Amino acid sequence: MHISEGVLSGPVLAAGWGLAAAGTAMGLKKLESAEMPKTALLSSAFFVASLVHVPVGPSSVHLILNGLVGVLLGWPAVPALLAALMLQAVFFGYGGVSTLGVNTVVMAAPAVLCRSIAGPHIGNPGRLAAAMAAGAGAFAVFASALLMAAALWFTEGRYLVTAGTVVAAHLPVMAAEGLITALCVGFLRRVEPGLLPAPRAPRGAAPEEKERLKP
Amino acid sequence: MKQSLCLGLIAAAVCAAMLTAPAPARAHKVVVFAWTEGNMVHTESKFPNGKMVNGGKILVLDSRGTRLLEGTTDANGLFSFAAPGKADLKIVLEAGMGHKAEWLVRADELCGAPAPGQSASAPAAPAAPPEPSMATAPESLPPPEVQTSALTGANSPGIEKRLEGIERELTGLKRQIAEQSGKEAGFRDILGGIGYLLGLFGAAALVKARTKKGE
Repeated sequence: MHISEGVLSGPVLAAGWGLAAAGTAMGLKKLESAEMPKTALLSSAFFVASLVHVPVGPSSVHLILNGLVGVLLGWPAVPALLAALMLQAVFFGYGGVSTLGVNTVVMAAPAVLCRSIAGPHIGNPGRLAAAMAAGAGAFAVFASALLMAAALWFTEGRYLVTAGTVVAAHLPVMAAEGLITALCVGFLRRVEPGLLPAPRAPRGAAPEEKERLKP
Repeated sequence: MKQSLCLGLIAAAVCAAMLTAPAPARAHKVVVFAWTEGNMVHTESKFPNGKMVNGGKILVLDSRGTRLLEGTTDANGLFSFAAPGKADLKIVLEAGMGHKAEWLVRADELCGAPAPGQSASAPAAPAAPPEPSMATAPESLPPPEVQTSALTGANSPGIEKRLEGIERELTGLKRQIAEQSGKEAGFRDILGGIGYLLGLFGAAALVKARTKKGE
């Protein structure tokens, strides 16, 4: 899910950097001092998760965990992912420094979206919360795959083919991340509900949102 | 206090993720490396977890970026070609889904390649001389052709056999050296990366706390 150096054209790279910078500014503004340790640890978890491999047919894909980071952090997920992606590029050679902006947008935009949809629900007890968390974990990977295909569209063309390939390759990751996110959220709710976003008073809109989350 | 317990749990999850990642860590990037044998250039493309790139596209460019030839890697990630001339070659691998890697073959690694302009139909001649080792300056040695004629002129079959053996060993060595450069990140990089992230957010917390005090 990391785009390498030299694949994308200049305007795409510039657009990626612009959006990533805006998101990072927003994230840093919303990042409160008390949340800093949580942000740092989730950033580390994301950094390390990419080393956990899910073997898929001829290739292999790795965990991403952007859904989990997103629902737990919200906007501050953008700087958290940016920092982790930068270190992944430097230490592991994933992606590249010039593509850092695009890669941040690809991973962080779905994360923030997941928070805004699933965030208010996952703090509640019950099945809906677990389904929301699982949906967020899986949907974040799905949306990242679509965004990545969109970024590659300008150089590789054939949007649907690329998107299909990327989504198909990441189906096992979606399943794994849905499970991991649901387990993590369930665990945190029992052990330390303060780490989850504050639950919103339940409203009638919940079932449709749940449907929308299922990829 | 409660939060510190929870952060400890997340840290434990990070450690678990780290332990499931075997060292040297597997990764989702792609590497291509090349070694020479006479005027044949062999390339090998793989994902650092050992999986070979099957059906990846190899482009061979000259130093000005003009495309000289292209090919596709086989099931073992290999693609070999006869160097079109004694000039620097840039080998570019495109493995799809935003994966791209490069490798440079320097002109002085190519032995027995025809001068640019001549046809390159024949692969390396059986009696192609071994390349000078890295430690010795290539300029100081007589040109390879002179060496060959001198040796065959000596007309001792034992020497030719040994030369061939040395050549094979050198090729193996060159391949090993090339492979080294594609080495993946190890535990040191993982721990270093986590340390950087914690430090980065720690610094951010410090700055935030200072600005709050100043207000």
